[in-house]
Amino acid sequence: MNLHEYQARTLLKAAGVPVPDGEVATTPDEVETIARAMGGGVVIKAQVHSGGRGKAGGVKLVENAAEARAAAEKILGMTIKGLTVNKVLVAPAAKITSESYVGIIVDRESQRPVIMVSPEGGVDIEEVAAKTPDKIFKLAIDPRFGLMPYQAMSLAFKLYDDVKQVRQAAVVMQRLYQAFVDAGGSLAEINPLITNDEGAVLALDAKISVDDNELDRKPAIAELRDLSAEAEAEIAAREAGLSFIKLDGYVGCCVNGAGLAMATMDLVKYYGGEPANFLDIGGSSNPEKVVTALKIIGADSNVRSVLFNIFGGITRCDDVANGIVAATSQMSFEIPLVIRLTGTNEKLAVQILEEAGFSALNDMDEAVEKAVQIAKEAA
Amino acid sequence: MSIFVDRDTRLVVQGITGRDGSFHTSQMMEYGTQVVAGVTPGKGGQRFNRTVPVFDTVADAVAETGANTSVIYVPARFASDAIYEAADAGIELIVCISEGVPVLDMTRVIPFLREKGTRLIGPNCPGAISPGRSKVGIIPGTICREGNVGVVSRSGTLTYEIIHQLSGNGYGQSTCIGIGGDPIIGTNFIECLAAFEADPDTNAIVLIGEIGGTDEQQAAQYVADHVTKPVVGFIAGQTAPPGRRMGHAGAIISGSSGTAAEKMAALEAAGICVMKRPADVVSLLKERL
Repeated sequence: MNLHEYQARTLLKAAGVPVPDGEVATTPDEVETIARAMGGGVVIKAQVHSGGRGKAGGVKLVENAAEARAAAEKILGMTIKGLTVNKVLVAPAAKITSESYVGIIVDRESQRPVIMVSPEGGVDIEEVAAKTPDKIFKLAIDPRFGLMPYQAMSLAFKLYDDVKQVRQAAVVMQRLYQAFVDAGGSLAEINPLITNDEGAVLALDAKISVDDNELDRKPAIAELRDLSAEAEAEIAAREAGLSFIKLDGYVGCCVNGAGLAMATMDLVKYYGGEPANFLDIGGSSNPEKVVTALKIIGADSNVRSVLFNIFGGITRCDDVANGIVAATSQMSFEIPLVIRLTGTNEKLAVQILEEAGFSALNDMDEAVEKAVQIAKEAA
Repeated sequence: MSIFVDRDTRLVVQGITGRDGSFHTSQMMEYGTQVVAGVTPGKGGQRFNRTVPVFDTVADAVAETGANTSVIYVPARFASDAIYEAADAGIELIVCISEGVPVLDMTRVIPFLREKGTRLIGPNCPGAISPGRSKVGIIPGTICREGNVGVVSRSGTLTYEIIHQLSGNGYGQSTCIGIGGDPIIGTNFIECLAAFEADPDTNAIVLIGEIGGTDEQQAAQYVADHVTKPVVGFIAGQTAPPGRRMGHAGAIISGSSGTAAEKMAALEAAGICVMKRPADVVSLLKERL
């Protein structure tokens, strides 16, 4: 789960990281009032879960309250990479003398949290990594000891010459690490970490992504989820315990298991079709999940055939069959279904489906080819 | 022979009285796995299915039954504690089936296991099966056949699909292992490849990867440098969009890295035959054997 910048700033502030003032607003009126109170010179930043906000016109630096209002009118309601901007952050314009980067991720290779710093801040860090990898400094943290002061200092010396700033930056790094751990983060980033005209080190931007598996035990973090920033179908799927991602094609896919779901999408493509979605109904099946899955897929007007690909292990084929029968009797489902089932309780499932007037296939390739063909004929 | 699990596997089931734990314990016993003990705190002294003794702690189970392998079915939030407990009790191989273990928990578990010298398979995995000998986890025994193909995979049901293709066409398996779909896991591709290479009963290897991370690229390099047996590979997620988690926490393309195309190219460069679809596993194996 991604947090908004303003939410990440609040967490960092609570952890003791120096963050300039800032307020969230949802209307141009509010923005104008906040800007006036801040003395006029402010930056207005779109709060959406997307990188490249600046390039998209979602970040504006203004001189006075009237300009702030005008900028807010443009930014609020605009879409950035398909996401509508409902909130902006208003912060006083900082007098920046240097921009650095500090980030923490969970690194798959070292199997540890890794902190990365670079004196080249304020830009896309992946670009820095690609063009000038020698300007990025990394350190794997032993999570049993945390980021130790000497480690933070050694990294901070890569950013600043002035030892006062080095000490400030080292403290920022340690507190960022603490905020990262406390939030159950998969990523925490300050880009840019600036020095201002008074020599102070400040976090001008903040980004935190949370490991979804942490949310059960961190209710305060879970509450930060912004439902308005997510697609409706994906919310419905998550609440039903399904994993769903909408794509641009026309063959709806309903599969058990993430690996098989991806392989099924790939096979749709192999046979000349385009998958409409990724959908994993998960391990333990219950018929209700199948009902929700069919509703979600059916709501996509691009879908011209729906392919079930079920390999029964923990998932029982008869549960899926019952779900298909229940769903199609509850609602009028006009889209043709192609059903492939094999594994646990396959015979029982085939019987349930045949009694309800469906036929079931046993072979994955045959089913995918058929679903693609039906969808193409319906075009 | 086989790798990791065999007839000498003496299994303790952590979470034996839970819904998933009890169902799969019955399945494993039916398959012939030596399930010697179960653990559920507070239920020590009971018996599972009137045969398997249940203990309050893994240490008690090990002391009384000589268990050497554990399988974990407890809810994700208790899983890391269950792993520590098993390792502390001297278990040599831990298979963690639980899905949804926080990745920061795993960053602490891994160094602990290294110090103890304990092998972990998973979390978020279907476990391992050596057909005809022993199964630890949830891979359906009915789809497997005894034979000489080693299978290693990051996925669950996709692995079943490929095993199904193998068994249906006369290719039995020495051992099938699902290593798990999380970003941080105990046993990686390379360790499985090394074990299959050393196993006299394995004469070919099927490697099933997916998008996200660089494990497959490293595995490819390892195959080029150290594996003499034929290897056939598959990568799921050619149609996956970047930046989205495809079900598995580890299956995510970040920026331009971790794509299926990149991984398939790495496998091919290492001399591994890459399947375009799961059904190709049979023809590719036939070519190489």
